[in-house]
Amino acid sequence: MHILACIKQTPATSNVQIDPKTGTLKREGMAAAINPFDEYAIEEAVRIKEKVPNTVVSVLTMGPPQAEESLRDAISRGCDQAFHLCDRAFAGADTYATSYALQMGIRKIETVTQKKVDLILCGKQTNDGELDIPNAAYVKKVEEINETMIRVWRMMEDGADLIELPLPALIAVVKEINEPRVPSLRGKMAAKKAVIPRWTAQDIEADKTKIGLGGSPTIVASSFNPPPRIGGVKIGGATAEEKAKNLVAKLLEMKLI
Amino acid sequence: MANEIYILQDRCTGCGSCVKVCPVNCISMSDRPKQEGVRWKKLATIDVNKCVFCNACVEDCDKLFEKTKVKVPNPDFFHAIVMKKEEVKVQIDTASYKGVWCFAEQRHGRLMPTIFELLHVAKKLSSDLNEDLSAVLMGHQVSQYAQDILEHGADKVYVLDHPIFEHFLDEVYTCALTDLIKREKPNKLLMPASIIGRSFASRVAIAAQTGITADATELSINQKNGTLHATRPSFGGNLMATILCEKHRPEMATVRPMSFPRAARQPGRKGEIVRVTVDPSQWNIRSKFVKYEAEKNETIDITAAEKIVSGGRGLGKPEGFKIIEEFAQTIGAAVGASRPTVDAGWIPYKHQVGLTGRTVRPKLYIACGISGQIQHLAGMSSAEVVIAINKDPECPMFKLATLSVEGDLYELIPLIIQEIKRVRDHK
Repeated sequence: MHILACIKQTPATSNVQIDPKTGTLKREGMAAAINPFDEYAIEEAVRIKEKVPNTVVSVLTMGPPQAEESLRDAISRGCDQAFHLCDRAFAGADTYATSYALQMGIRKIETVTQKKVDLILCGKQTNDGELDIPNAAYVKKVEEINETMIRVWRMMEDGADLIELPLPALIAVVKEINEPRVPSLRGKMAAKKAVIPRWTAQDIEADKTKIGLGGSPTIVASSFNPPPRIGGVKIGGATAEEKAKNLVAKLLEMKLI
Repeated sequence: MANEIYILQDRCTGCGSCVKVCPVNCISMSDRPKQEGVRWKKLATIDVNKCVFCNACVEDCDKLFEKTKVKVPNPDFFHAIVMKKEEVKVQIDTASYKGVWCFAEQRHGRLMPTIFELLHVAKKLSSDLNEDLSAVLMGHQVSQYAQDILEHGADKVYVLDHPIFEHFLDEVYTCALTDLIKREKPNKLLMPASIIGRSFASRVAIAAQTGITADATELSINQKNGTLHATRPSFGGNLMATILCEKHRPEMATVRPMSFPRAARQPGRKGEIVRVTVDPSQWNIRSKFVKYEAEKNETIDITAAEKIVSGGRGLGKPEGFKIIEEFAQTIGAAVGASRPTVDAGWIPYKHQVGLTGRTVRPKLYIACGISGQIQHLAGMSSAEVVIAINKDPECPMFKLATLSVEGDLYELIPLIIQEIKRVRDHK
C-alpha cells in the first residue's frame, strides 16, 4: 500500500505571542513548523504502515525552501520518502490553486515511484478537493483498513458516523485520532540523510494559469488587527461569599443568567 | 512569469511600517550599508518565498507617501514597494449569476438552526444586491421545513428530498450541490462552518471552479461592483483578513456558527418552493454510510452553545470537571475545556476549545482555572462576555475578561452556584 501524507507549513503556533502593549501579534521569532493538525495525519499514516504489510509512506508539501524542514521532520517520525513542490510560481495560492498543484504533485509521485497512491491523509485544514476520489473529513478513528477499503469514524457535533470508502481515498483527520510520537534517533538519522526532490511547476507539468496567486480565485484584499479586547471589571469582595454575590449580581444586571 | 515584489532601495526609509502590516511576516528590517548622502539607517527586505502578494505593504507605503505629500511637495521617499501581479484572464460571465443562496443543513431529519443565522446575514446581502434570497434544503423527508425557511426570510427554497441525502456523505452532497449551482447559477453561496459544511464546501467550490472563504465572521457587499467581502479571522483571531473572489461565481463562504443572530420569523410569509428532481445514478458515488452512533452523554455541543463554562489546568484533578458540569447545568451552559485537560485525559476532545480544538463564539464564556494561553484564546476570544475565575490575578485571561474574580475556584464556584439558586428562588 502507498500512503501519502499532505502537509502544510504554518508559523509555529507555540511561539505565537501577543504584544501586551498593542494587543497585536508579535512577529519576531515565529519559526515555521508542521501544521499541528498534520502531525496527526503523519502519525496515522505511520500507524497504518505498521499494521499493513508492504506499506510505503510518502509525504508531500508545497511551500518555500524552508518547508523542507517539516518534510525532514516527517521522515524522522517514520515517513519513508518526501517530495517538495517549491517554486515561486506557487506562492499566494488559495484552496483552489493549492489543491490543483497538489494533485499534479501526486501524479508526479506516482510516476517516479511507479506506485499508485492508495490513501491520502491530511490534517484538518488541508482538505484537498481536486482529486476525484471518495473522501471523508473530521476522521477521529480508523476502524478497519485493508488493501481495498478503509472504514473510518467521523466526528459529528452530536456523535459519530461510520463511513466506508473504497481505496484510493482521501481522509482528513482530527486531533483525537492519535497521539503523535516523538522522532526516534533512527528517524532523525534517516531525516538527515534523506534526499528530497524539489519540483517546480514545470516539473509537475502544472498549467501556469491554475497555480499560485494568478490561479487563485480568491485574494486577500486587506488585513487588519481586530480591536484588542479590553479587560474589564475585577469583582471585589473581602470574602469568597461576597465575591460570589457580587459576580451573580453583575451577571443578573447584564441579563446573562 | 511569476509574481514579483521588490523594494526600491532609494525610496525606503526603513520606517518598519510594512513589517507591521504584513500578514505572513515576510518583511524584515536590516541595517543599511553606509552610503554617501543617504540619511536612512535601515532597509526593508521582502522574503518573496513567503509573500502572498496581498498588497498590504504596498498600500501602507503608498499611504505614508500620500500623508507626507501634505507637508512636503514631492517627497523622494516612501512609495517604495513595487508589486507586479501576473494577470490571468478568466472569462466568466459574472453578470449571468443571480441571487444569494444559503445551505440549510439537516441532521437526522431535523433542520439545524444555522440556516436562520445564514438567512439573517444573507437577507442584508440580497437586499443590497437587489436579488432574490434562496435556500437549498437537502435531506430525506425534510420538505416540511421549506415553509419554515420561507417564513425566516427566504424568497425561494430548493428542496432536494431523497433517501440518498438521509446521512451526510461528502461525495453525494458535493455532486448534488454542484449540479444545482451549475444549473441555477447563483451569485453568492453561504454555508454553515459546521462539520458537514466545512467538510464539503471546499469540494463544491473546486467542482464549481470558484473561490471560497472559510470561516467568515463578517460579510458585506461592495456597493460599487456587487462583490462579496468576506472577513475571517486568521492566526487564531489575532488578524482579520478580508477575502475577495472577484472573477469567479458563485462567491462562496462558510460562516462561523453564532456569528450572526437568527433571522426573525414572519408567520405566514409566502415564497416559492422548488422541488428538485434527484437522480443519483448520474453520480459516481463510491463511499458508503455504515452507521451513526449518538453521543452517549447528552451534553450540549460547544460550537452551538450560547453559554459555556470551561475548565483548565487550574482544576488540578480530573474530578474537577464535576464542579464545572454542575456550574454549567445551573446556568444551562455547555462544558468546555483547555488543551492540557484534554491531553491529560480528564475530558473528551470534543470539549476542547482553542487552536487545535473547536472555535466557539458564545454570549457568555466562563473560564475557570484557565490562564489564557494564546492557543486557547484563539478559540474563544470572540465570545461576547468573558468571565475569568482564577487564583492568579496576573494571568492573561484576566487581561481580556469582561469580569474577573480572583480566588480559589473550588471555594468560589459552589458559592456562585448557591447564590444563583438563591436569587432564582426569590423571583
